[in-house]
Order: sequence, then structure tokens, then C-alpha cells
Amino acid sequence: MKKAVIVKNLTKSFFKLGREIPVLRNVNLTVDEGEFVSVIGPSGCGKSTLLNIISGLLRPTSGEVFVDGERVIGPCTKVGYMFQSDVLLPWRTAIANVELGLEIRNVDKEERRKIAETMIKRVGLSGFEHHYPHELSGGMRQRVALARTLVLNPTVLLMDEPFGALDAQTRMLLGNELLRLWREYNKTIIFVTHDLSEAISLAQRVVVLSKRPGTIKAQYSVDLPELRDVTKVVKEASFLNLYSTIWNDLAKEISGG
Amino acid sequence: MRWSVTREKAAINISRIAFLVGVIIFWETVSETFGLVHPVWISSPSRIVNRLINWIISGEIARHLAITLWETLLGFLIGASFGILLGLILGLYKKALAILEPYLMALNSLPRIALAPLFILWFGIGITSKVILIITMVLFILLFNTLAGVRSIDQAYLNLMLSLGGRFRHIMIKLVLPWCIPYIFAGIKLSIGMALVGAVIGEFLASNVGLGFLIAWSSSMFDTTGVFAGIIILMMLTIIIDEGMKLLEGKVQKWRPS
Repeated sequence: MKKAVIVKNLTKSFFKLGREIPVLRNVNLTVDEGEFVSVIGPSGCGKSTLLNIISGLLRPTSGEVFVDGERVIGPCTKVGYMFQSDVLLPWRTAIANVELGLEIRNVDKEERRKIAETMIKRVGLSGFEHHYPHELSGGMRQRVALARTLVLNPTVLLMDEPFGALDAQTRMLLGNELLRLWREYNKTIIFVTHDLSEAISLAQRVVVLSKRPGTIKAQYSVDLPELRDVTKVVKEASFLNLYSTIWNDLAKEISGG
Repeated sequence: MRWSVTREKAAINISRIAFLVGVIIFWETVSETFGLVHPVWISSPSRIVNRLINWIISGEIARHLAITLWETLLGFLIGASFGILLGLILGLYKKALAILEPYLMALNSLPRIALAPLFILWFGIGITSKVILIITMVLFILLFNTLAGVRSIDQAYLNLMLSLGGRFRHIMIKLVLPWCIPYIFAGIKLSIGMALVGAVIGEFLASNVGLGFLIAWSSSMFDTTGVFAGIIILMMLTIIIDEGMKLLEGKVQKWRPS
């Protein structure tokens, strides 16, 4: 199996007022092409920092990252990044927001309108193309953000708690759609969340990070079909077993044991 | 419901006009009809209207108005452009800002009007000294407003632009500038009236043409009517500029939630 992402001996520290604050320590992670991996850990354990480094937005203190076989040394165009907030530009309509990355890549006007229109339909926003972000609900805004990421056709999708601000139902609905799009476009996804149930119900593999400085504590493969209904899997035995196992891991981290 | 709102609005407008008419009638009767206060001190509405008509017919006012507006426009455009540019640069280069900030604050706290005599000494009584005075007033307002705009951009947006492959020019054109437009606009609104005041004050101090000169000249001749007529023209200018700004603002910010 081809490796989409390789993280090797990654360590990251921040410096604040001359003091070193270690955030990630010796992280090693390999993600296969087409795999859906979720990363979970106590808050402040460096989950977002890990994604920032994989995307090339941050430089590691030591260690290296490869995406699609190439070493990451700066913002990487093979990676699509979805953030905690939708970061839509408020003066652009939904479709104009989806076109943003295509504009930056100099795709000509007609072409990018066509691509954006198709993607808007794919994420279920037909009819809302010309709405401004403030006229859309939180779930719709994240759909726009997802479309904006997908039109650039990235190999790897990094998602940093993208549904964190949404209500439970919208969350599951978007989860199901994300799974559908993942299979349809055959993407590799690294999905960071602090919601254990979300982590298991979406992914094929769950990576547990320790508290800060974050390091990989355990990895579990999820014994559920690739295409599943996230609203239903939460009742299955394999889900419940995995949930309690990982929960034990996490509880130790949170309580500091 | 809608009907009563429009009626209420109409009632307010009518009362406003009635109030203005009342003040004008009171003024006219006090000075002209009853002679309670001599028109030398407070002039009267009829004299002022007469004077305005005379000025317009003779073309006298056009000459003064043109110069004052030209100074205002020139000073405003130069000051605003440099202010916005400096604001963007300092907003993005935080080190430069850290070094320069105390000096900028110190310069900004100088009372510009106290500097006006110096500008006249250095640049003469022509329009240059007024334009410079206006630039020093406008530049800082736009500088600090633009700076506040750049600083209010969430790091997440910069990350987004970078992750989409954006370079400096993309970040500038597609994120920073449009983001700062409301801030820049607030600065423009604040400073354009100030530019006019700067021109008039400059003309007060030393000049031989312009609205400020006209008012100062009338005052030195004990021509109260001339002073009032000049002030009324200034007032009307301010109102026109203000309304124009409101109109433009509505167009620029149509995407904002109301």
C-alpha cells in the first residue's frame, strides 16, 4: 500500500518568554493512501499543531514529514486543510468562497465557476450558491468550507475538529456526507477531534495522543465497514467495546495517571 | 404597522422643519423687526440669504470654494493614501511597528493646529501649507484605522490563505485589503470632515483666497453677515460630504449583516 503521509520522529517546541514549551514529542505516524485516520487526545495535547506541521504551515523543531513521497518544507499544495472555524470570507458568496483557491491557482474564470458549481452540488448546497456566509447556518458554512477544500483536489485532507461547533444532529449528518465524499473522491483523511464517539464512528483507525507534550500512546483499528451510517454504528458491539477501551486510555491521560 | 412607522417618520420630519423655521423666524424678528439685538452683532437670515445670492451671482464664492475644496481633496487623497499604505505595511511587519509605534503616537498627539504657523512659515501662504497641514491630520487617522483592521485579522484566515497556496500578493488583495475596508471607510468618514476643517483653519491663519479667508476677512471688517454666510456654506459642505459618505458606505458594505 502506498503511504500518503509519513511523520518521522517529529518533535515541536514553542518558545515563550525564553522558556521552551514542548508540544509534540517524538511522534511517528504513517497513513496509507485512501485511509481515514482520526486523532484524539486531551485538549492542548498538540493535535492542531500536528496538523499544522503536516500541512507545512509550521516547521517542526526536529523530525520530518512526507506527503505523497515528498518532504514537506513549506505550505504544501497536496494537502487540503479544514479548520475548526469555517474561515469563510464574509464579503464573498458561497460559490465565490469555493472559488478562492482556484483563483489563487490561476484557473480561468469559466472553468473555476464550473468546478465550483459541481462541488457545491456535491456537498448538497444547490440553491445557496449566491448566499453570503452570514445568511447560512453553521452546518452549511462548513459544507462550503469542505467544498472549498475539495475543489483543489488535494491528495490528503487534514481536518481540525471541523464539526466541533455544530449541534449533534448536524454533526452526524455531515459525518455521513464526509464518508460518502471520502469514498467517492478516494481521499486520505486525517481527522482531529476531541469527541471519541465521532473519532470511532468515522475512522478506520483511531490514534490516541498523550497529554502535552503529545506523543502517540496507542492506535486502534476500527472494526466497522468502510461505508457506514454514523447514526447507527454507535449501537454496535464493536463500537461500544472500542469506545470503552479508548476511554480508559484517555481517562488516564486526563487525570494525569 | 408599516403605515404607522412611515407616519411617525413623516411627523418627525415635519417637526424638524417646523423647528428650523421657528428658529429662523425668531432670529429674523429679534434682529430686524424688533431690533432687540442690532444686526451688526448677529446679522439676520434675510441679510445672509441676500449675501449668499450676491456671492453666487458675482462668482465671488465659486473662486473661494474651488480653492478650499481643491486643498481639501488634495490633502485628503495624499494623506489617506500614505496612511493606508503605512497601516498595511506596519500591520504586516510587526517588528517595524514595535520600533516606530511610540514615535507615531507622539507625532499623532501633537496638536496639528499649533503646527499650522510653522507650515505657513515653511511652505508659504499658498495652498501647499494647507495641503501639508491636512496631510498631517488625515494620515494618522487612516494609519491607525488601517492598522487596527490588519490586526483584527484572525491568524486562521492567514493559515487558510497559505494552505490554499496563497502568496503575499494574494493575501494582500484577496484577504487583507477587503478585510480592512470597513476600517478604512470609518477612517475616511472621520477624516474627510477634518480635512475641510484643516483647510479652513490654514486659510484663517494666512492666505488671500478660500472659504477660511473669506470668513476671517469678513470678521476683520466687522461684517457679521459675511461671517455667517461663510459658516453656512461650510455647514452645507459638511452635510453634503456626510450624506455622500453614508451613500457610499451602504454600497461598499452590502454584504454585512444588517
